[in-house]
Amino acid sequence: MTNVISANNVNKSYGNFKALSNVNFELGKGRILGLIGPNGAGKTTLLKAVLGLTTYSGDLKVLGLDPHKQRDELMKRVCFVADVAVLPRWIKVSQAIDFVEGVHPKFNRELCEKYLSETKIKRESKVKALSKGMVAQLHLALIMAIDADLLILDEPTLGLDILYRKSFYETLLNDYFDSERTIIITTHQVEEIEHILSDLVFIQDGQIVLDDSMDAVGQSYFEVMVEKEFEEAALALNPMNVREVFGQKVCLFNGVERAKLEEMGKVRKPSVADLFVAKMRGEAKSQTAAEGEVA
Amino acid sequence: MNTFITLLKREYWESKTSFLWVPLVITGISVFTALLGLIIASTGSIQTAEFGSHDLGNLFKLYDVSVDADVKAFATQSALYSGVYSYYMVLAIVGFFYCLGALYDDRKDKSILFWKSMPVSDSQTVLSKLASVTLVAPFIYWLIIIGTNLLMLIIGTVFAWLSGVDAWSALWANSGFFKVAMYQFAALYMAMLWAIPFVGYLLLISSWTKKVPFLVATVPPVLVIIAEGMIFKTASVATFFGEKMFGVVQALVAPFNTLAREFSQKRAEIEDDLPIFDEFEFLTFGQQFQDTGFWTGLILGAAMIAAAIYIRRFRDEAF
Repeated sequence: MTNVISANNVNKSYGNFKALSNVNFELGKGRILGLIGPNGAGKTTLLKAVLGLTTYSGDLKVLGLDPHKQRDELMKRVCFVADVAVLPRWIKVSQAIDFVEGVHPKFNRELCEKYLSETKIKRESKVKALSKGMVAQLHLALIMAIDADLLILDEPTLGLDILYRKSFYETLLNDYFDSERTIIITTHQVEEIEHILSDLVFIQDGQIVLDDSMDAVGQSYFEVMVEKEFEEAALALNPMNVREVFGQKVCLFNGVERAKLEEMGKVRKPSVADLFVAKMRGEAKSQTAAEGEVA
Repeated sequence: MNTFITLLKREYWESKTSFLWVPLVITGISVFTALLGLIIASTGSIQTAEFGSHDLGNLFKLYDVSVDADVKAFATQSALYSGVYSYYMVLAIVGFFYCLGALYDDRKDKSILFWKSMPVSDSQTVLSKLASVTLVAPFIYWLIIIGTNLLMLIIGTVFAWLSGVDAWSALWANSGFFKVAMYQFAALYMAMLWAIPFVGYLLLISSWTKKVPFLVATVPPVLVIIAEGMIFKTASVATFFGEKMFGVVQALVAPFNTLAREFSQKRAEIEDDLPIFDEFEFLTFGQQFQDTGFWTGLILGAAMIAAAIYIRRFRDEAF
C-alpha cells in the first residue's frame, strides 16, 4: 500500500514555542482521517506543513512529494478548505466557478453546479452578499467538484446549520469519497464525523498522543457502565477515565480484556469525544505528575 | 496559458471599477462638457480682435476657409493627442493603488488561502498582477482614449454640419486619427517601461508588508531623502526618483514633440520667421532606449518583482 502521507520526526518551532515535536504518522490511500486536538495543539501547523505553506524540519512526504519544495506540483492533486469564509468578498459566484474551472484541470463544472443547486446561492451574487453559511457552502461546492487525491478539510462546517452539516457529510461519504481518495478532517464537532472516519489521530502540545484505525480503537478501548457492586473492582483495573451518569460510574479502559469487563456491566465502544476527553485528561495528569517528580 | 488568462480575468474582475469605469466616467464628463460648451457657445457670440463679433459657427467657417491644411492638421492632432493627459494621471493613481493592494489585500482578508489552494504557482500569480497593471489596464485606457477622440470628432462633425462647414476638410482630412492613436499607444507602453521600477517597488512592499502598505511604501523614501539631504547635503535618491518620474512624463510627451517637429519643419518651408520646435530637450523613443537610467530602472524593477515573488512563495502564512 502506498502512503499518501508519511511523516518522520517532523518538527516545527515558532521561536521557543514548539508547535510540532517529533511527529510521526502514516496515512494510506482510501482512508478518512480525523485529526482531533484542543485549540493550539498543532493541528493547523501540521496541516500547513502537509500543504507546503510552512517550513519544518524532518522528513515529510505527501503523495511522494516534498510539500514545501514541490508545492506547485502538489496542489494539482491536493485540495483544501482552510477555514470558512476565506473566499474573496468581491468575487461573484459565477466568477468563482469560472476561475476554478480556468485554473484547475480536474474541476468538474457540472458537479459543482449540482452541489450548488441544493443551496439557495444565486450565480450573480457577490460573496460579500452571502451569509456565512452560504460562503462555506460555495467553498465546499467548489472544492468538492475537484477530483483530488487528497482533500484536507480544516473545520469545514463551522457556521453551518445542522441540516447542512448532516447532508454535507453524507455527500462527502457517498458521492465524493472512494477508495482512490483520502480525506483529512479536523473539527470540534467530533460526534458528527466519527461514523465516517477510518482513522483517528489525537494531537496535543505538538505531539501525537493517539494514532490508530477506528477498528483498532474499537478493539482496545471499552467503556463500561459499572454496576454498583463492581465499582471497586473496576477502579482497581485502573480506568483511563471515570465519569458518572445517573449515579452510575462509567469507566473507560484501554487494553483490558472485554470478557472481564462484561462481568462488571454493560460494555460499549466509547465515543470519540469521550475517548478524546479521557486522553487529554490523562496526558494532563501524567504531565503534572512528571512535573511533580521534577519538583 | 489558459491558467494565465484566467488569472488576468480574475484581476480584471477585482479591479473593474478602476480599470474600466473610472476612465469611462472621465469620458462621460469630457463629452458632457464638450456638448454643454457647444450649446452655450453656439447660442452666444464671441468677440475677436481682427474679425469683429461672431457666433461660433461663423468662426468655425472662418477657420475652415482661412487656415492652411498643415495648421489644421497640427491643431487637430495636438488636440487629440494632448486632450487625454487626464487619463494618464488617473491611470498613474489607479496603478499606484492597484500595486499596493495586489499582494496585500488577499493576505489581509485571508482569501490568499483560497488562491493558494489552487494549482497556480506564485510566479504566475505575481506576473498576472504585473501584466494587469502594465499591459491590460493601459490597453483598456487606450481603447477608451481613442473612443473618446472619435466621439470628440463626431461632436465636431455635428457642429460642422450645423454651422454649414465641410467637416471633412475642417476636421477629418487632417486629423491623423490613426497616427495619433498609434502615438498614444506607443507613449503609454513606453511610459509603462519607465514606470517598471515603481511598479516593482510597490509590488515588493505589497508582498512584504504586514500592515498599511501605503505608509510603508511612501514614508521610508521620504525619510531617506530628508536624511540624505541633512547628512550628506546631497539629493541622489531624490534625483534617482525624479529621473524615473521624468522618464514617464518624457515618454508621454515625446510623440507630441515629434508631431510638433514635423509641423515646424513643414511650416519652415512656407514661412521663414517661425520658430522651429527642434530645441526641445525630450529624448525620442530611440534615444530613451539608449539611456542608462532607463535600463537600470528596468533591472531594478525586475529584481524587486523577483523578490516579491520569493516572499509570496515562502512566507509562512497565518491560517
